Amino acid sequence: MDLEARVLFGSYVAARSPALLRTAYLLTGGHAEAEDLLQTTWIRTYLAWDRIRDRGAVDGYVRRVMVNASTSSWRRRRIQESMCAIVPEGPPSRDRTADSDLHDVLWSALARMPRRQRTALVLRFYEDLTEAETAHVMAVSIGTVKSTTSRALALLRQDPSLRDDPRLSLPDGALT
Amino acid sequence: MTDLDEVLRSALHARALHIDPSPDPLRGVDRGARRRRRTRLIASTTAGACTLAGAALLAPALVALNHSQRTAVVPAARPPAAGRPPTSAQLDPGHPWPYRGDPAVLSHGNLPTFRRDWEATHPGSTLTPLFGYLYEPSHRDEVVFVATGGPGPRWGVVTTSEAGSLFLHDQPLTAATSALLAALPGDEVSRLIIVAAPSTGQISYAPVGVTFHPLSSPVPGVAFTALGRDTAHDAVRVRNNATPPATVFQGPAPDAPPRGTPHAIAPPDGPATPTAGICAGPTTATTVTIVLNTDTPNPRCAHLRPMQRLAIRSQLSHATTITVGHRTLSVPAGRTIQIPDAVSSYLAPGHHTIHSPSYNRSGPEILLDPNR
Repeated sequence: MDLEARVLFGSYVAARSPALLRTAYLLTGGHAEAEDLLQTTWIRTYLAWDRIRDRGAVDGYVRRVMVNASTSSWRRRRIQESMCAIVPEGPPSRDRTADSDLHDVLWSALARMPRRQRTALVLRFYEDLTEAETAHVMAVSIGTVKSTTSRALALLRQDPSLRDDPRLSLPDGALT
Repeated sequence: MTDLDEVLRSALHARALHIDPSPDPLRGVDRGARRRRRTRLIASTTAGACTLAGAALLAPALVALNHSQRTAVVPAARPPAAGRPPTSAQLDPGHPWPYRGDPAVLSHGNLPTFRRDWEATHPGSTLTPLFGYLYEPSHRDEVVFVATGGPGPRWGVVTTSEAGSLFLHDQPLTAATSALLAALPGDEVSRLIIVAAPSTGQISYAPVGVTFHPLSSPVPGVAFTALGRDTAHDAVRVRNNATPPATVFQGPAPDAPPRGTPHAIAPPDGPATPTAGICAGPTTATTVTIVLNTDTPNPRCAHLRPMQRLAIRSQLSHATTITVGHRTLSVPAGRTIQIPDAVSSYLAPGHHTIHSPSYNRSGPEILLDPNR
């Protein structure tokens, strides 16, 4: 990689690392795992940087690398995926609104969810990607994104910790 | 009360705010990339060490710089030193270049799968890998190979997909080839892969054919570059590692592959509703097999997903020919042939008929549903 490319890459990493680290955290559920995932993503992007012509599409490229790296890491571990329901490290919650415990309950429910469904929810509801963009990142069809998202939300509705929560309106068959 | 999706969005954002970014996200990236490159290079050079260590020194090659040709004329090399096998700049399909690249790409059953799927459409031909790598961000294994047997030597590029082997490139091997060039589809932009002999010193690319710029090589004799939309005047040059280096190949770069599938997609030609009244499936199998029986096929109608592959198994006592979409295939008696491409790459959504003379010019039906 020549000097100009290195500078561009460095600028991109500095600008996007905070947001992508948060996405990595939501995908993996742990701060350390998120740091590892982001590092792996940057290394792979670095190796491919010279081949990426469309700089405007780098975000989609990087997200896709991250999702693939997350999948590879999960497959290598070959264990039943589990996340800590409560992150054991990091600063105390800054969210002190009345919804903070509801957020914790939802986070715990997400922890019990299959990886693919959690990935779809993170991309759709945190990254706010469209169904088409999510399909591109996950390398699946739009139909698969729709069905995966629908099943994920249905799982949340049926989760014992959320089913009877009066703060949530959960009409039967509600889809987003 | 709050809708679930609003709460979910709020919860994810609130949780993400807990994360403090690293003050130096770049730290370790360069080192990690170098370590990754080194690991791949060690793996590939270890695999080919015996052959590379015995490579003979070649005399500087004469070059036929004909821009209309893809191959260069290379004179016979000097006899190698005693005990060392010759290494030619030309690809001999009977004694191909040793495998380079990531050996992990050939593991996990990939190589037997590639070979099986290749032979399904090239009976009697055996695939030998030349170079393998992991393509990012799709994270798919890709292998450049040469094949011998069957109607004649061929070469190509194969990758893994959800539906199995996908042959991105497949063409006859021209005699005296000293560089394999393939334009491949990419996630962001089309790309060119160049595979030459291990004795290659430098591979260069000239946009609009003006100035050659050296390309970095993950292993000796292999290079990649992105392809622009118009490569009409671009050129590739391969030089060996002699002193001074001599050009063993110089020729035009191939055109970037068209967006989407390279083959025409056949529109539906089947009945509006299945003749059998119902279509079996869809299943979760990567390959759907239709059996050609003497009386009726089984199933009479198959419901396929876009990324599934189609296989035809003959229970007939004679060879037959089937036509599906724009493809016509011979099916030997009692054999199974498999179309390695996903059905959506050659069939449009809807009903299709697999035409066969065994069923009075009609045949089993396929329902391709893009929403499944």
